[in-house]
Amino acid sequence: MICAEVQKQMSAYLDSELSDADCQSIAAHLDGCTACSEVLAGFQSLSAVAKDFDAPSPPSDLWRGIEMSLDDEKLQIVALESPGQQRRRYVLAPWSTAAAILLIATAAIWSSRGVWNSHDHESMEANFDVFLAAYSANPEQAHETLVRAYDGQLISRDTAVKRLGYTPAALDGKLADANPEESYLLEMPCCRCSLTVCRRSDGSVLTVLEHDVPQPEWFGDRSRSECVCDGVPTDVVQVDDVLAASWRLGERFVTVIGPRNLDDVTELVSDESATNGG
Amino acid sequence: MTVTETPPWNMKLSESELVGACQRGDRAAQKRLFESTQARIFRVIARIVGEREAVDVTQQAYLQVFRKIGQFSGRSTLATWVYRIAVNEALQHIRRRGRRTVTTLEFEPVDHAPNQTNIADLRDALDAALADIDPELKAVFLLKEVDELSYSEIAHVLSIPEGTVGSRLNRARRELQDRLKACGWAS
Ligand SMILES: [Zn+2]
Repeated sequence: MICAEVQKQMSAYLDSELSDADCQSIAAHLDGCTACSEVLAGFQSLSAVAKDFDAPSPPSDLWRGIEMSLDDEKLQIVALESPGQQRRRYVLAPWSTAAAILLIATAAIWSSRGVWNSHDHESMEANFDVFLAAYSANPEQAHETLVRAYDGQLISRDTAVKRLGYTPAALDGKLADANPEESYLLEMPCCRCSLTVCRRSDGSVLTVLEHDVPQPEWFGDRSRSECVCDGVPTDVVQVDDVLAASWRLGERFVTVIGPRNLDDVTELVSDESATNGG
Repeated sequence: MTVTETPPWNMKLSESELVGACQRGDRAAQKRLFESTQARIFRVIARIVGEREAVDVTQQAYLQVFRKIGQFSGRSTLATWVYRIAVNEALQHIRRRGRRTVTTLEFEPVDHAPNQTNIADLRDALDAALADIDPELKAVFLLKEVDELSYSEIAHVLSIPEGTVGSRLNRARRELQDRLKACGWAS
């Protein structure tokens, strides 16, 4: 056997992919040929190094990303979407998944704080029910239910920073086309949260709540969807003829009541993420 | 390890039942297929495209799997079929991206003898050399050396004739060695 022939089969020899006969004739050649033996030794040492490569583990949230894209493909746009507007990327998935995720996260936070009882839950749900039911008829006044129920105090931007430790997004100009008119501090059972009533350029009202933990129970059993607005997971609830939307903003959560459609929601969400540098 | 794995999912669900459920878009079935294959799929993708881009490519690969699951014929095992899609997705990704500009030139040519203390350096050097060779050669080398597939399995996964596997491996190994030698690693 000549060297070229042997070297042509060197990988197959090393990887035990040859017939016994071929294997034997190559072994015989290698016995007397330094050049071919060196090639084999080189291949073997490469093998040894490659075997030593680390095996990276998949990150734990890999499935979540896939699931979101799967939802994306099943795209269902809510009926409220106004025609003629530029379509953005958003997704509605059955609420169950989002609810499960939110509820798990919420349960974990609440149980660690241990300040909750079922009465708090029920009364909060009831208060919000009144607030939301009044919203479309009287968006300027509806929040008064919450202000009464939760010891609401009118606050300025400065007081907000002092009492909350942060500037509410709505007072910080982080929401597109939403001029803050009045802001309250609410002592809710879950956390101290801020409520800001904003006026939009078309005269409509937007109510913005900023809170420490997700609050799916604010919306009772209203129909809900998980939505990805410009890449931000957002929970959307239909409240009569407007939407309520909730998403994570840094360490807190923002809930807005009043957007007319998902484009509107997407504007608000993306504007905030832009201001926050991603 | 070979591509033929025993189905690690729920014993009560046969492979064809799982495929059927995935074809109907059953989310639980899709998740089960994902969970039973992800460790291996992520690893091979991370090897081919690098860990930084592996998450995106793995997600794309599974989306392809679920889009194409209607085409699964049962000629190979489901695990092999998923693996094949994943490897091809990874290869497409590096072809689109173009080869890394990392070259072996970054390594100072010095005399190295592979021993305990510099085995990690040698591994890094091989990693850099792998980023530098043709993606097809890289894939064939990784499938053999890291995933320990047989030539017929490699041929199936890469859709190439079985006879080509050996010659590609020869080329891959020679090119890698040349690159390692160029930066001072004795063979
Ligand atoms: Zn020879």
